[in-house]
Amino acid sequence: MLLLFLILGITWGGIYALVGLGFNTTFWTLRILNFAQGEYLMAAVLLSIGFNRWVNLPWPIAIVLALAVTAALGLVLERVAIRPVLQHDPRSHSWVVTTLGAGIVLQNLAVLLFGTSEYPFPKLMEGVVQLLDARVEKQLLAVFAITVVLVVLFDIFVNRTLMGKAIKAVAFDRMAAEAQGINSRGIVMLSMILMALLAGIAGLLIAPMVSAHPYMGTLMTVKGFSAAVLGGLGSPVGAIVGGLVVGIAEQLVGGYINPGLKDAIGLIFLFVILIARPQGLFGKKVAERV
Amino acid sequence: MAPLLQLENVSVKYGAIEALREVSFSVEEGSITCLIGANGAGKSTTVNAIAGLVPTASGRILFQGEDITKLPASRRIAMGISIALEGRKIFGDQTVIDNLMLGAYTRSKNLSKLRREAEEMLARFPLIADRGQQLAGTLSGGQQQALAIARALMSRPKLLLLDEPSLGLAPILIQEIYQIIQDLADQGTTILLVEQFAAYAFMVSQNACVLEHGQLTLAGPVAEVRDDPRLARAYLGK
Ligand SMILES: Nc1ncnc2c1ncn2[C@@H]1O[C@H](COP(=O)(O)OP(=O)(O)O)[C@@H](O)[C@H]1O
Ligand SMILES: [Mg+2]
Repeated sequence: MLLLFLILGITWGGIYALVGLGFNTTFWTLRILNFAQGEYLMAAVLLSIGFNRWVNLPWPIAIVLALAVTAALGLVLERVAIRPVLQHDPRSHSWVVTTLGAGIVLQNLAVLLFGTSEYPFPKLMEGVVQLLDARVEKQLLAVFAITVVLVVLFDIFVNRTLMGKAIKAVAFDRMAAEAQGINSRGIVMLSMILMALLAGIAGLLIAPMVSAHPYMGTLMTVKGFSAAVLGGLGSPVGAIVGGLVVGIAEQLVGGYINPGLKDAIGLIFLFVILIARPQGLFGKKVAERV
Repeated sequence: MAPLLQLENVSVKYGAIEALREVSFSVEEGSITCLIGANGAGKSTTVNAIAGLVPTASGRILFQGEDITKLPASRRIAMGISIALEGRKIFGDQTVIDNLMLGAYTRSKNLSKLRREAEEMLARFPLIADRGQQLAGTLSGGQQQALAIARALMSRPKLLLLDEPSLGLAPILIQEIYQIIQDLADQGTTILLVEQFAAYAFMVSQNACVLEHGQLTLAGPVAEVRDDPRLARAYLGK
């Protein structure tokens, strides 16, 4: 059983890491945490289902279109829930409420359009493979493989392209970035698109395993946030490690202690790390810049 | 010949505060012009407005005879204006080489080409020549200033704006930085040099402009400005 728990833990941990990376992208460029993130995960899934069921688009096209719309919704979020708040007062923390509120709006829209029933979502792969003493669904392995590829691509993008360096530059000092000719507004938009795509893809990956419904995102916001904070906000490596820690811990706790504790364990880690090491495992201690 | 840069009645406002009022002056190609004045006089505002980092409320800025008043910073850099900001403002969490590559952001996105150019640029600055892989935030003040200037040069500017390059540096380092500025001028780069303390700036400049409470009160060849009684008044205040 241990092997299965570990595989499940790593796979789910990878998903949390994707959502955690999404938290990082907007934290870098805007110094905000986007608590609507999980609803973007849900939006990509339900939009895919909508395009497939109601417009009769084949799944691949429905999914690509859904991701595009989700990305566009990311831009809308910045425009209506984040920019006005920061324009009014750059040091305001009202974005906690406005992003959370935007998430609730998205969720309610989803309920209006889709009701509260659960929808099946197609798997990438059917069947199981025998790994030592564990029977593992191929879907799980596919999810894991895609997550690894995405994390590697994200790392290449951030660390090995000039655009990635420009994102870091905007995060570090917006005016200095502008002085190099970097369009900081464009970089902010890019970070919103990245956030929405990371969340959306994470949603598409888990949808076959959890079935799709308007409330599927909320818990993912919490877990992705736990991953990002556990690892240290702003650190991509931190988000990945944080995601894996939460993912593995909840499988072990759920499997060996009590399934009812599964969703609590990530939060318990979150509280412990906030007390013991507020900057997270890989985070740098930063003084609030004024 | 028309001057490389020309400001015509440029005003800048921060909300209700008028930081620059109807400032006009020009910078001749191939010269160093210094812009001096007390703290808060509007020097940074002036060069930031030229770089396109703060909007002008009224007036015109001409570069090579072309009106650039409304152009975004990226376009101005592409045209040949580059700035080393006050306080250096290097990207402390990235390496020296990465900082330099970002300086060429508008010119190319080809990383291997940019890396080669960044290394060539680095070789021109003995203060940081062997620090390519070091995180820029861990450099000393003088090294950070050298990096700030090198980064500004990566866009291959015709006009280099330097905002208080001596700020917070020990005299020996100020000399090194001023040697760099002199060398750049000798190689033909036109420079608009902002300094709060005029003595250094006068050593390398041909022309000087004096700002006082957001207004230009004195301008001309250094030899004349230096001995003008109004210069002292600009610093002592009214
Ligand atoms: N971002 C800003 N917002 C509001 N006021 C500013 C800002 N930047 C500068 N100022 C004000 O504009 C005036 C000129 O500032 P500045 O150009 O930095 O002067 P200097 O560089 O000569 O010291 C000062 O009164 C300063 O307080
Ligand atoms: Mg200044």
